[in-house]
Amino acid sequence: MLNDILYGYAFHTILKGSAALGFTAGILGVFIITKKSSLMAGASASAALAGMLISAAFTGTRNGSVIMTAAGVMCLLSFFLAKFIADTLKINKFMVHGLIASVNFGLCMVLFTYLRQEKNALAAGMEKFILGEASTLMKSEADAALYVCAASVLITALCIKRFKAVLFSPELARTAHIPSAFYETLMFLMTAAVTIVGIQTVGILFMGALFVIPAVTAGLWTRAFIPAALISGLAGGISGAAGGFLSALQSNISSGPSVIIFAGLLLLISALLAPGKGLLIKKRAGYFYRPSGRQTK
Amino acid sequence: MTSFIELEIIAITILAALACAVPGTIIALRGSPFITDTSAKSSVFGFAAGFASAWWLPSAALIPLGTAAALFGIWAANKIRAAKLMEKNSAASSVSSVLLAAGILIINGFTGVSGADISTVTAGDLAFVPFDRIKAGGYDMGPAAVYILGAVLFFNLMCVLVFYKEIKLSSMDEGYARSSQLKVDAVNILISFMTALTAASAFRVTGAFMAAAFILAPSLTARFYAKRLSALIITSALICVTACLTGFGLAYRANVLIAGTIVCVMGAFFIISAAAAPETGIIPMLSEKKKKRFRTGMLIASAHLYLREKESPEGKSVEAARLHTAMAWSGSFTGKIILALEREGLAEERNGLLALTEKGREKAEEALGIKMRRGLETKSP
Repeated sequence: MLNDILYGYAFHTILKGSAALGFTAGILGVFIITKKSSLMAGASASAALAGMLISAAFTGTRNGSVIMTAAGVMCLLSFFLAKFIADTLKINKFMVHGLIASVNFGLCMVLFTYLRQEKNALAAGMEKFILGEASTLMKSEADAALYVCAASVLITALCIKRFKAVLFSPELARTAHIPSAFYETLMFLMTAAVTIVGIQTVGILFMGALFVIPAVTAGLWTRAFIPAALISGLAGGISGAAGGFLSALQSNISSGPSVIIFAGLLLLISALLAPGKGLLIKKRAGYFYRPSGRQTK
Repeated sequence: MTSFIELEIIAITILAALACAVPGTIIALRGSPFITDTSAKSSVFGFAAGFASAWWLPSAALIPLGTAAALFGIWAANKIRAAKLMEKNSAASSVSSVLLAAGILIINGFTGVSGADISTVTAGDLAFVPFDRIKAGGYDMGPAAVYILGAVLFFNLMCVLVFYKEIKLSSMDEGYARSSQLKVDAVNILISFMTALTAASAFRVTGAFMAAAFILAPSLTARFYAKRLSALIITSALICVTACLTGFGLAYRANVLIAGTIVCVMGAFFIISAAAAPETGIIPMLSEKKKKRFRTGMLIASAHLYLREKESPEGKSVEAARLHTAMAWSGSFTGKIILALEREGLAEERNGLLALTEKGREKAEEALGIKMRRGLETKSP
């Protein structure tokens, strides 16, 4: 039985999909926590599902590209709305993000109840997207996820220096004639694309956490940007694979929470053991320990 | 036709929304929504513990359990930040997500089905709330939720009334509050407790995740119309009641989720207010900015004409085309400025050239500060 599962085709699809998703989300997560827009990542997950449901309600098509486009449009709409409102009105951006996340979630719930009356089969399948269900991942969907992840990683690898400049030193970016707005939008587009292909595996409630937790874990191990991105990708990939594995073995476990539990486990281990910042390490080294390696009395 | 039970549902919804709005105003003043986000997500862990032990616990135990879990989430996030492991919002979202995941795994494991019906947690079960009734001496005393939410609303209002000064000071200027020996940490704990209790007790009405919108939306909308804390609370209460009634009406017509519709209505109110609230909305603000730019443009144009007059005594005027190049304005903007100058009698067209009138010259002198200087010069000797 176990052998059938371990060498089964579907199992490999799930494992590959969720590991790639975790890896990409981990890398992009470093950008997200640097920009402090973790709430926006959660908001875009709800927005993506709302877009999918709207497309199911109005077109009723099963065409994947139409559904994805609707989800993307909804994501971009809420991103630019939040940015515009927070920038022009000088309202705290976290408040706007939190509000938009919650309103999008409410919109999803309303659309679910509406489509349930209409007996819309497509929407019934989408109810799994709240918690995530990696075992419903089909070959085509897993392939789409792999392509999106590969493209995001490639773009990140090509533009990482510019992203770094835009994130950490806007003045430098301006003097070097790097168009900040373009790179910020590009970052959000990659986040949105990964979110759209990821909500089937991880679920809208946990998509934001899949970006944040691996990145935070990496932040405990190193302060340098590119190593942090790699460690974060690794942590995300491991937790994605482990969570997908557990969810595929145990039919009563949704994949979203299991992925996040593994990510949380890695975070806990790092918080205790990471050099410099880890709680156990710091206790032993005394409280005057400096992350740079020098000790002062 | 609305029956008695629907009136009860409306009353419960409005009570829940009002109870949420009170801590919401304080959170909107402080500008940190992480308390709401964390308590909404972490409380699910408490509910899961409650569901798992439902065979011996009464259903009312869900509220203290949810509150405790939410407070634990906030406490843990603060501890992690204090240990300098990570910054505040990352800590809050990691802790709350892990607690949420653990809670959902407990529910999954207890019910034994993947993707088990967690709609009570995500969407609430408002339709069933009125059936949970209190009976005293054989008489029906109404739904239990009315008493619970009424008590929470009363508690929140009393907290704000009693500690009005402390809450206001610690939200507006924390440094000053600390230096005047106000117990800011105690106030923070009080606000966390209010938020956690409200989110946990309203969750059957709002669902765990939409509670954040019930808390944030009315106060954020009210900020467009009011500035003082007391005025904010009253305005957000009004917005709450309006949104609840509108949302209930719409949801009743379309037969969809009530809490979700109310949240959507609240979101729509926020966007409409952000766009068009008088003075503070985007459209009035931008049009005011445009008007200001236009008025300044008129002054600059007349000043430019005045200076050209001084420079070239034979010309005494400037072509419209040259004004446009000298100021580096767009053609249409220059055209509008010239039309406005002529309309207000500041400048006129003399044989194809633009020249200032007497009134315009005065205005330009005023803009350049020449008149004032002259006044000083005549006075000084």
